[in-house]
Amino acid sequence: MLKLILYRFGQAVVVLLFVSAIVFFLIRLTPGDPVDIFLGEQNVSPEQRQAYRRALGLDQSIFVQYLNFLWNAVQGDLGQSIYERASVSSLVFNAFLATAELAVVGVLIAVAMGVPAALVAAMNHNRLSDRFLSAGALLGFSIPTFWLGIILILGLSVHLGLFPTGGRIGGDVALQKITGFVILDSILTGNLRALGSGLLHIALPALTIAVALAASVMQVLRGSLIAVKEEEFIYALRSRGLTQDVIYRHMLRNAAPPTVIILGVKLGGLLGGAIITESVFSWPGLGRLIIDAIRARDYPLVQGGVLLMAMAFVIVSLITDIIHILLDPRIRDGREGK
Amino acid sequence: MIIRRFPAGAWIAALVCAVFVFVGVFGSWLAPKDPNFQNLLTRLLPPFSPGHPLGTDALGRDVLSRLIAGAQVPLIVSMTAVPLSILIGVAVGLISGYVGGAVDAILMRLTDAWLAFPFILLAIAFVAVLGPGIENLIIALVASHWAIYVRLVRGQVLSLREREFVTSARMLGVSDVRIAVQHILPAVWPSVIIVATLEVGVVIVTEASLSFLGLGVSAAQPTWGAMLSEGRAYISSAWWLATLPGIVISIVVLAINYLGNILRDLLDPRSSVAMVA
Repeated sequence: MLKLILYRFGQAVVVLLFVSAIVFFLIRLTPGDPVDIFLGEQNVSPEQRQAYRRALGLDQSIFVQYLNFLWNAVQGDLGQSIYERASVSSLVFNAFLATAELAVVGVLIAVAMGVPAALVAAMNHNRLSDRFLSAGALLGFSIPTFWLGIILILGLSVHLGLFPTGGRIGGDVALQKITGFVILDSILTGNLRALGSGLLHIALPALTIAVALAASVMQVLRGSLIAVKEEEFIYALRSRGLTQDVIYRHMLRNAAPPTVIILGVKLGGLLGGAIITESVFSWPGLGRLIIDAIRARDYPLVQGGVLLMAMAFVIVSLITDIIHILLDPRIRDGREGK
Repeated sequence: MIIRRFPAGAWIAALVCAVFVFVGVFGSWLAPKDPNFQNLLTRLLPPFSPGHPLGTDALGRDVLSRLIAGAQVPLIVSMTAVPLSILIGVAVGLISGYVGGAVDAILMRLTDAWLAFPFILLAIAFVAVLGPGIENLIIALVASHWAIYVRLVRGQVLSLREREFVTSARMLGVSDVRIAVQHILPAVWPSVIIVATLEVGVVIVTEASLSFLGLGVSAAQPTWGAMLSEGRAYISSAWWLATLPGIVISIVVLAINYLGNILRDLLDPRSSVAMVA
């Protein structure tokens, strides 16, 4: 089992190398020279441009630039943002915290909606409630995220005024920064005003993310629950007269692995920034940061942001894989290989 | 007959898809008005106004005509990007699974790396690199979606490779390329078709998302995503501008996903592709 986990770990490292190369070379294909864009029409002599270029390391060959980038990245230095005048690592890391908070809350809401729905649907397989919930899941799966976000803003923020239309916390609310997570920090400092504001701000974007995710959870878990329901050990539990609660718990545990994988994959994707949702709700996360950086041709910022995004995905996938290995005895004992 | 087993909803979904294709192809003849005709005297008319059944937008353009004309880009884009993605993805998966060894290891790690980027980000990156326009949009969508088919195909090829009909073909001296294309490929199609159906919906939404972010085709061509994006500015005064295109996208994608689910139940009852989609 350890060998399998190490093997997966090695794979993840290779994947990350490919990822860094794709990011680095793709962004250099982009038309437009960052130096020209940054200096614009300003009256700057070619010598000054050259000096600026040298300061950014853009005068070296592309492979040297890549190796420099890799070497620095390993040490946690992702360079300086061209526009923001701040280190990429700190910009990207702060945005990542905002994204992570949104992703975690979104996943929690999705689980809270998807798991009970799957349980009800599976227990009433092919009956009206199952049809209804399955249709709901299909609908949740089909509604474009950005439209759902806009509709939620239109209905709940603009017309009813229940929620703010965007941002992470009210502009007039002060919050001491400890972890960088708004909700966690306001609980730690006992700041109820900030907690209320933070929850109101996160509610709609998290719900927007959660709808499609809940639909996936519901579909996958429902399928495995229906399969598990007919297994002999469930009949055995039932014939031993165990309560329904205990039986549900056994069913869920046995039906869980595919859903855990789906959740892992989706969480990994969300940690990379729910690009559309963040842009609809002006959520200051990684996805929005990268979009803005692409528009501004801020090479180092895009590079660092995308690298972190893909790293989050690969690491979460790796953890999901390891959980899967631990959960499934067939894989654990090496009976089912790669 | 397979047809008999189709539930009633399937016919409705198929009808929606047929209407989508019809409108996408003949949109320019079907639109009651010129979708780009501006009239500032009749701007922001609500639905059910005389002459404008679905109202007008901020420049006085007819929303119904723009919705009809807006079907063209999603149709062209999904009908080209999905087959091209299949072509590349299935080829890579077939080679990876059939050849195995180092080739397999490298191709699969490359695929994993590719899948580590969110689709929408890859698409945005390619549009940013290539510039706007429908060809570039298609390239961006293919570039971001081909990798999905690789894992799907490779997994099946790995198990098919060891089956009797393949080993016996090999013993008869059939060439590797012929075995892969004539004997293995047909067995892979059902799962590819199921995923591809669902992918049509994903591609339509991705195209709309790109247009929504202002990275789609040119502004002269109305698309649902761009209409939604423009309507966002009027969200408090003219609800229909952002709402109607979203409803249209949702209905089309819902119909496609529904058909995809039915196909999956018919072709692959054990749902081996549920995880991928």
